Amino acid sequence: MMKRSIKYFTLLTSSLLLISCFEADTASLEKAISKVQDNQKIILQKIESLEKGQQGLRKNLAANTKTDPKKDNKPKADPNKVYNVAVGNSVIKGNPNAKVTITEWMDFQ
Amino acid sequence: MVDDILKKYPNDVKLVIKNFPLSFHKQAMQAAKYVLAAKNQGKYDELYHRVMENYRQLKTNEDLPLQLAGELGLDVEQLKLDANSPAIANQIQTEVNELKNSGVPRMSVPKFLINGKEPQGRSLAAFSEVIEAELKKKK
Repeated sequence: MMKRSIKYFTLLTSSLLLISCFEADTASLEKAISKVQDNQKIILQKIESLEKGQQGLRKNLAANTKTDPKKDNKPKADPNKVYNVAVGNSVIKGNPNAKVTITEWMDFQ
Repeated sequence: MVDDILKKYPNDVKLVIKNFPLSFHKQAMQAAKYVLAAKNQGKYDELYHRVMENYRQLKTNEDLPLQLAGELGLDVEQLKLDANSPAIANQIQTEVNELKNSGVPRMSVPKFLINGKEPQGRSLAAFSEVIEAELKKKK
C-alpha cells in the first residue's frame, strides 16, 4: 500500500513539473515571438525609409542627367561673337576671293 | 572634314591655315616649319597631308617630315634651309599670336573660325549652318 502511494506521488509531482515546464516554455516562446515581431516592425520601417531614400536619389539622378554638368555647363561657343583675324601671309586653300573664310589653327600632333 | 567643306562650296569658301604648334609637342614646331617651307617648292598641300597621315610617328622621329618630303620628290636640303629661316619662324609666331590675341576663349587646336565666328561643333552640318548664314548675308 505504501509503495503504491509513493508511486502515485512521484507520478503526480513529475507530471506537475512537466506541466509547469511546458507553461514556462510557452511563455518564453511568446516572448521570443513578440520580440521577432518587434524586430520585423523595425526592419519594415527601415526598408520603407530606404525605399523613400532611393526614390529621392532616383529623382536627383534624373534631374542631374537632364542637366549633365559635363555637357551643359561646358561653355558653348558664342554664335554671334565675331573674332577678327587677318589672313596675313598664311596659307590659303580654295578660291582666294571666296566670300566666306574659314580660319583654322592646327598642330601636327 | 574641312576638305569636304571646300568641295561643297568650291567658290564660296576658302580656308586659311594657321599654325599653333603646342609647346608640349616638341616635334610639332619643327614639323610646322618643314611643312610651311614646302610651300616654296609648291608642295605644301602634299607634305601637309603626308605629315598629318603619319603624325603618330612624329613623336619618335623628328625627321619624319624630311623623309616624307624626300618621298614626294622635294629638295630636302633646300627644305631644311627654308624651314630654319627667320621668315618661317616669324610667320609661325605671328599665327600663334593671332589666336592668342583674338579674344577667342579656350585656345585648343584645331580651332576654327568662319568669317570670325566659332561654329557650334566640328561637323559638316555645324560648319554648313554658319556658312549658309554668312552667304545669305552677303547676297
